[in-house]
Amino acid sequence: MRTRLQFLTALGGTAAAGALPSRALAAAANTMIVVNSRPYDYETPLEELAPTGYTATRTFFIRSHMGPPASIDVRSWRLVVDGLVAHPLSLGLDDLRKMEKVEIPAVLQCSGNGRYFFGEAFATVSHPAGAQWTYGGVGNARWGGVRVRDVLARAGVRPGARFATNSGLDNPLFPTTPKFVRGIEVEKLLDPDTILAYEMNGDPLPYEHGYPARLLVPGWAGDHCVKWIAHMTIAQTLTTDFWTAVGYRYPNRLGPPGKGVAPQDEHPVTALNVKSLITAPVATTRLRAGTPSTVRGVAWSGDGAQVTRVEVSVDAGRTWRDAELGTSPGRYSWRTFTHRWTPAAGTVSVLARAHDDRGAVQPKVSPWNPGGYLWNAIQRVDVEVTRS
Amino acid sequence: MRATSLAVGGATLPAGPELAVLQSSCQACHSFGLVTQQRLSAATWKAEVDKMRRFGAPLPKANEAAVVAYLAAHMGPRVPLAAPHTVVTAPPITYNEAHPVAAAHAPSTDSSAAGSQLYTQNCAACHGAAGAGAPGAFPPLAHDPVVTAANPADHITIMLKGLHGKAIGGTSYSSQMPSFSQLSDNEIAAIIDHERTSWGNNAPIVTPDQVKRAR
Repeated sequence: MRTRLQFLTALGGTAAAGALPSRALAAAANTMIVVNSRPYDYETPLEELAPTGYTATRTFFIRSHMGPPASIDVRSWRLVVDGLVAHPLSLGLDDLRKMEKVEIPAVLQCSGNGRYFFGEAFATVSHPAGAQWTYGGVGNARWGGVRVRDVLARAGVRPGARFATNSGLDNPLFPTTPKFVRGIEVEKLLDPDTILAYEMNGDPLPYEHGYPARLLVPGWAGDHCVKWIAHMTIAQTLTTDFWTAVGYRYPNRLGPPGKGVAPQDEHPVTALNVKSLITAPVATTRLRAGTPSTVRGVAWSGDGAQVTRVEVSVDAGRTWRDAELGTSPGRYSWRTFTHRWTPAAGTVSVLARAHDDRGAVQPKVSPWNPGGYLWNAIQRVDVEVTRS
Repeated sequence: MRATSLAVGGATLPAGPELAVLQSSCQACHSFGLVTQQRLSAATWKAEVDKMRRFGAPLPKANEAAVVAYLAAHMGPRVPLAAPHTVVTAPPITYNEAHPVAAAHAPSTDSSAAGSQLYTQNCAACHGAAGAGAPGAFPPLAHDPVVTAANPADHITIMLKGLHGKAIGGTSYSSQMPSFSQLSDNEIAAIIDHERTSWGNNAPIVTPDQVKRAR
């Protein structure tokens, strides 16, 4: 249990109790923001993203395609691995627990996180359809489980196998609604960092996050990380199921904003991109002129790329200073950053801009695409600074 | 259905047959809020409505053109859209086969709404306005043994946790009934009471407190 003072410090240096913003009180109370109430899509408020560098399990964002299955009997639960394998497998949770365990700190982000901002940036054309996530469809956790490659080694992947089709226990309401099924390259499954996770932040995987096990594909968009996973079929070709062949796709060539693209001119969304979020101050924070304060945030990239630099601007982007980076617990985790400053009275615009070790840098605006995927533009927080 | 317009997220949706058909067709699978947060061109609305009809939305083909025109007129790209802002207490985390009770903490959509309206919005797409269901796909609620049972425990549990794979009156249904636990205790009680006292059903009603205890 943290003290009130520690909370105040964590929330960005609003040291005077009287200056505690109402949203800060809300943060202390474990809150989430409803994007869609059924099946539920909840995002994490900015100020709750990284209380310890990781996101707390309880406030970690939840994305539902069909919603959790009504019940799961873990005693009869099996992960079936079949298709182009020498030895089809049917593994229970105990079987997974007996295998070598690894723990990977990793960002999990919904590919549609930030979709709302496409509508803001391209206000006169069709907004991308889908749940209108803002900032918090992302989190950073320690994922414990077994390497998929160890499971596939037992199954014996046969020559010619290139893709896997993964599905979980969640089912649609109508038989005509496509079940959530996701295809992925076998090569990515054989990456030693791709795991079947049965723990999150040191605890059993919560029901909402895919109990008893889910895929975790670090550096790739969250839709690969099939929850309540029950079936992995190895094949020569990529599945033609809706969510892979039509749903989670990005244009091969960007077209005019607002215009749809045929699925055959798109490819599946895979790697995440370089991005940062400011967790303090937030829009409702009230700072005092002349009182030192700290800009705090988190930055990450995709596909194993490392964030090497974060710049912060406290004058709407006119000038930039390098922020201090926290240590990285692993190449798929985000890094925290801090920047000390002393505000003057008025409304100030705070920005952050991350760079990665492959030369990628956050853009001012992300390119419009029909699915509204991979928004990673520079975030701007307007904060009021009152006279002391 | 109330004969009033709906103001939500920056859009104003006038009352009328289009709003009624949208509310009853869309909410079988997802909240109406997922519709009202879209700001699409007419062409994209048409594509979305076509997709949802393929997915199974019970939106009659005869209504489609009028519904698309309504959506484009009132939820086009230039209509303001507020970012999601409803803040709830984070769901308690569950670690076993117990069903998540997350949605018990979700906001009530309209706690004063009558059971019949809530039924229209949440249930009628599958079970029918008259509780008749659809043969082989969705079970009827009129004269259903659970809905008319003196003990409402199963009725409450099915609303909270959903149901799949259970034969009802000797018939198996392919569809899965989702959990409606995101609704408030008051709303669930109102729906149950509506079902227990409509279409010839005459069974004891329940209190929000009974729903709360069953979560």
